[in-house]
Amino acid sequence: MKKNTFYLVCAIVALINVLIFWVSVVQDRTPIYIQISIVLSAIVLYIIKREVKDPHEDERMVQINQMSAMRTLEIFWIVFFVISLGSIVWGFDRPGHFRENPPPYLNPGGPDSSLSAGSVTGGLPSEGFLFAGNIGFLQLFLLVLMLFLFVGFRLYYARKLGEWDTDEE
Amino acid sequence: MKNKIKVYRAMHDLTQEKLADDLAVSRQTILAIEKGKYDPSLELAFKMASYFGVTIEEIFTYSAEGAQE
Repeated sequence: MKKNTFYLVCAIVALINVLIFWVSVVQDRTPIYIQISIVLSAIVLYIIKREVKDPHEDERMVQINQMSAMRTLEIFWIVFFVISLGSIVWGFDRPGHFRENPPPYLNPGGPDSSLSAGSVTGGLPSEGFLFAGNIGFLQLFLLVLMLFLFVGFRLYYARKLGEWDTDEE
Repeated sequence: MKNKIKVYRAMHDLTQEKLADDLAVSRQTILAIEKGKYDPSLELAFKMASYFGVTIEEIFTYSAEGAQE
């Protein structure tokens, strides 16, 4: 199999996954389909990739990927740590932890108010932020950030190690 | 690290593509080595020397200037 064919297969698999994601969200409202689909897709693509005959992934390419991955991790763990600490601060900012009274955004009407936390959010951090669905969005954002960081560093090191140099022959 | 791959390639009348194929690397890798942007692994350096029938020292000479970080 040629490399371009492999990329075509990747695109088809991605489209199928988008479809399954839609079915999971809208139709059956269960995450199991998309979760199984992603794992199966990864396995299938790994097997197919081994059949690619013209990968030309030599030692220079491996070095570029390694350096990019290392730099990505160096930056990403800081971002991940900062966001995690922020989430922990919000997590502790409630009665029963380090706060005796509810913070204003969890009790907008004051101590004697009957307003619930969910009734007023106004874009402020609320308890809902801790729900699994929103955590999923946050994780997806972090994954995309990681991907962008890797691609950025990949371009940088590829350029540094002569990827797009013109031939003098 | 400096190298004389371009010289040896010219002596053997080889294109970058042919040398890359024979050494199982990409043409861009040969080009990057020739331009001094990439220092090959010891294994690839030995393969190159063996390919041209010379010692490594005849092709590669160490130079701190321009060494990869």
